[in-house]
Amino acid sequence: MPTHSKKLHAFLPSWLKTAPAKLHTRLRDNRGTASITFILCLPIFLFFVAIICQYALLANAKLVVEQAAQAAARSTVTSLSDDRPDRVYRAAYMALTPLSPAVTPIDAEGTQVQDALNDLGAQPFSSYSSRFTYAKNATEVLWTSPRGSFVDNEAQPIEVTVNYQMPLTVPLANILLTQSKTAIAGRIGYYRTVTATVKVVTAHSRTTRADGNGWPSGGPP
Amino acid sequence: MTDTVQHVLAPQALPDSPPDASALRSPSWLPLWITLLSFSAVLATTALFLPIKPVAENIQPTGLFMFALAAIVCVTAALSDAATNRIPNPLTYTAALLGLLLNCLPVLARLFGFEKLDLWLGAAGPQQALLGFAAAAVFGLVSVAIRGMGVGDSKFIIAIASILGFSHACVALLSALCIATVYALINLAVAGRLNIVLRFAAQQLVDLVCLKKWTPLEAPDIVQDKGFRGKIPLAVPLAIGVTISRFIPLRILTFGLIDA
Repeated sequence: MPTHSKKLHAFLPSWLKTAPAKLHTRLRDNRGTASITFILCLPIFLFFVAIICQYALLANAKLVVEQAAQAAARSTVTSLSDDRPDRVYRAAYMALTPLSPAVTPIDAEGTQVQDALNDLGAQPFSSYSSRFTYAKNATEVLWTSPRGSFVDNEAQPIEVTVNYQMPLTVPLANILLTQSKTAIAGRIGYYRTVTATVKVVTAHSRTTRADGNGWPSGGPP
Repeated sequence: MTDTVQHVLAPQALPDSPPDASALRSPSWLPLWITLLSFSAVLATTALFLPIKPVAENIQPTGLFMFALAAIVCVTAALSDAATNRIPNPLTYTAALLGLLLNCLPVLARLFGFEKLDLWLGAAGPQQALLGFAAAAVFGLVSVAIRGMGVGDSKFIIAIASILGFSHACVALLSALCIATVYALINLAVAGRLNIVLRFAAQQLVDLVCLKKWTPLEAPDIVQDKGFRGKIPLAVPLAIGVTISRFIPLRILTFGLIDA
């Protein structure tokens, strides 16, 4: 061994010095027995891992549903005064689309939204329309009616609730978290409802889409 | 039964003139691999033609070469494991390498215009194979580190995951785990006798199908080991699990507990 290699070898930790020999032994080892305790404990370990994975996915879903509720609440302020509740629903569906699985057949509204996003240059993912279809079928958006006129009274509180049927995809955990299978948008599986509620207060009272053509009264400026 | 047990548990009688150990310990694996691949090819071709009649026109039959190869490798490893508690390294290393290479084959075949090769091969693809290899390697390393299973078993799982790909390997290994659990419980209940009976049967089978040449020479120390009752040859439930996972859904094997 050259002198500089000897010096380097002296500085190496002991486990690193023996590592090549141990690796060689492992690579040549061909024992084919498994401990019974390991075999009996592995399903229990996998069960806990499955539960943790499924709850992690549910926690992620909760965040996305909260974001969808915020988008829907913001939309209520601008869209309810124009008597366009469909925009509130659509805001929630669009926020939940990335979380949703792809289903068939694709809803016409999903295709319209994807085309509109393409026209804007947003470049949504290819399965956007089919995922939007699932989000539309799996989401329930509810809001409390404002007190009095939306236009004439300021500071109207609105409470928006979004209920989303989250598909449970982790084996074993899905059966434990929900007992029965249901079909949503033609997709049969296990689902759990994820709910988020957001309160907003209208700051200004005015009609933003009075003539329903996308511009305030009087047309474009 | 007593005679059988004594026969199995008796120390291996040494022959008068010791055989050429180097020749027996490193047999040529090429003939065995040619046999395994030929059997897989025949099975895959037969399976491809069998279900064509009942399958509707719009449903493409799936190729079965990779599955047949995995099943045949499993059976060979299971026989060796049950008979000697060893899974030969030439089998596992070559199977892992072959799995990775064969899973890359459809990509190359498509480049050169042989799209129909997919139909016969039934390969999961290079991504699935690499993912399966990596996941099985991590699982194997952890299992060996905690002394849960032997290194041979880890290598065997890596080989199966490389051949079948990650998704199918997960289903196959979960099926195998169910069977291994049942096997382990039965073996515990009968105080390790199941291992002994299986060992005797496997030794007879190895002799019968001329696999003795490829099984390791040295007598396994596990027979004298007091932990013999607490260990099982994992390749046996793995082989059964991999083979039946294609035909019996995991939902049925797990009594409805696993239903993805």
